[in-house]
Amino acid sequence: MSMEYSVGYILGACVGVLITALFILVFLKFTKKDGNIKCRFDERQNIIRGKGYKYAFFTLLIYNALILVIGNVLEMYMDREMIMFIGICLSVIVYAAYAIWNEGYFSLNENPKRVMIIFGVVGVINLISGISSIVSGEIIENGKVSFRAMNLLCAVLMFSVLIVLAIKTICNREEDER
Amino acid sequence: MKNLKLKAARAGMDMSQQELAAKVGVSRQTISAIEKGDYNPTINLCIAICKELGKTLDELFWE
Repeated sequence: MSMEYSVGYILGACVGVLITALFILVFLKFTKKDGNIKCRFDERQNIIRGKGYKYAFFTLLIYNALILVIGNVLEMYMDREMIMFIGICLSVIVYAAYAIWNEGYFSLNENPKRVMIIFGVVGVINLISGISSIVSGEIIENGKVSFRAMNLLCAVLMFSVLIVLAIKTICNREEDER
Repeated sequence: MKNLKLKAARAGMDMSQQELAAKVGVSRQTISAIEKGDYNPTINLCIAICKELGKTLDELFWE
């Protein structure tokens, strides 16, 4: 690796981190009703979130144990990064689904519609990026699913959260009508 | 077990779950869960609800 490339690489990484930090800041501000960055949860929500984290932790634990056993076989079909990322996505989905289903996902000062809009936008951007990787043939490298499939996984993650939210909203509406 | 006393006290003050929730600093779903008997609130939340509805702990939470 040349020195020039190295500096460029570091600069690129720094800009990436800055843009991500900026995006998170805008996300936190935009999704709050009171413009505060910090989320406020009540006591029941904190309990639900704690349980959600517990289930997500055990999901990742079981997934990692499985990978210990079948990891070598999986690595014949996909990159190691992808295998790790699937575990992260799985645990995030478990946490989000549990918290949403038990009404502990959105904080007291959060606007759920705005969060859903951002999740939708992020999902669509990742889906477009994932589809373009499929079209350009970059998703499969040397007969293995490459890290470029992460965008597709991200889209699946975002849409899964939105689907759980939609189902929960419908269930709540039916319950209110009763 | 459903907390019908809380529901009655809230309705008696012509207050919605959302209004009571906002006054005691919790989500509407938390008030709903307490009324349905799905969640046991902490003593701090019980006191806040009692103060808001002008009732005692015995009146709302003692069986």
